[in-house]
Amino acid sequence: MAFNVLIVDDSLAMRSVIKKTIKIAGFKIGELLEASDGRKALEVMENTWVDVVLTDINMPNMNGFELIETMQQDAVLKQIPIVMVTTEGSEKAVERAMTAGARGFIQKPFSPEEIVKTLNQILGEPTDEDRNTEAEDGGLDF
Amino acid sequence: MKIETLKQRMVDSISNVMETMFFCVVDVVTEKTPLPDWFEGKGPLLGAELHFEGPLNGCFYVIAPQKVINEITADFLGLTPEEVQDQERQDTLKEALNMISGSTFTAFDKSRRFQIGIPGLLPTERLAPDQLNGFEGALNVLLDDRPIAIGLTVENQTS
Repeated sequence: MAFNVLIVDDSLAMRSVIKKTIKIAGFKIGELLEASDGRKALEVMENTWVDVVLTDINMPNMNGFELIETMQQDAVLKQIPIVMVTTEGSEKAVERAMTAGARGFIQKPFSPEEIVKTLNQILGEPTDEDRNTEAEDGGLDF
Repeated sequence: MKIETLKQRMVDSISNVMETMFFCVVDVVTEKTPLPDWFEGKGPLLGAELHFEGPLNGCFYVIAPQKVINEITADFLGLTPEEVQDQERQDTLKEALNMISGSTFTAFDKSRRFQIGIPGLLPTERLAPDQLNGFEGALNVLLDDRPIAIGLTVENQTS
């Protein structure tokens, strides 16, 4: 099964780095989707099923807390696991995110292993077959 | 609430962020060099700032030669320096500052009384050689022997 992953961050550079981290980890990815804020993330999810959302908190238009709170009010979207990937590391931020329904919390700067470990918990660890397929697709080419 | 403690947390965060995310060896140079001299002959500069509010108000800033940012961005995104676009260069600089400030406040104030803004680019005119001395207290930092400057200004103490 291939997973669709949505990365929500107002930083193009950060979205690129997270995408590369996911690709190199060998997850069987269907689509790696991107949005630059919470509002755009909701638009993406209107049209495409997403298996997991990785979102920043501090973004213009709609921040990560507002995104997760909006998703929790929707019967379909509330089923999608959300991981916060953010510079905010305070106890209050973690508590608010987890109370709102986040499944994981990763603070920037992060190591690739932290992203992989969290996605493993949500999506399950990639099999050797997944990794081989990803390598054949050029996912390790960076 | 000690400003010196905040500054020390910032120094720790510079190393943490630049080594973890950008794989750079960080050297905070203890001997202060005025910014016009620090960047002399290094070409055009790019800078970013990020404001914060709370018990202390102020802003973080980072300034670096565009060539240095280009190289860091290329490494960060897995590109060659020739492939790096303006937007990617600007974005990487802003994101580095974002992470440094977030990491600083996480270490400085776990109770989250600070609100951190969204990073923006410094206007080019503020990066002219005759304006650089306005960035008081800037730290001279070497990233793999490449010069950048990072600093923190505190505008007022509200409590």
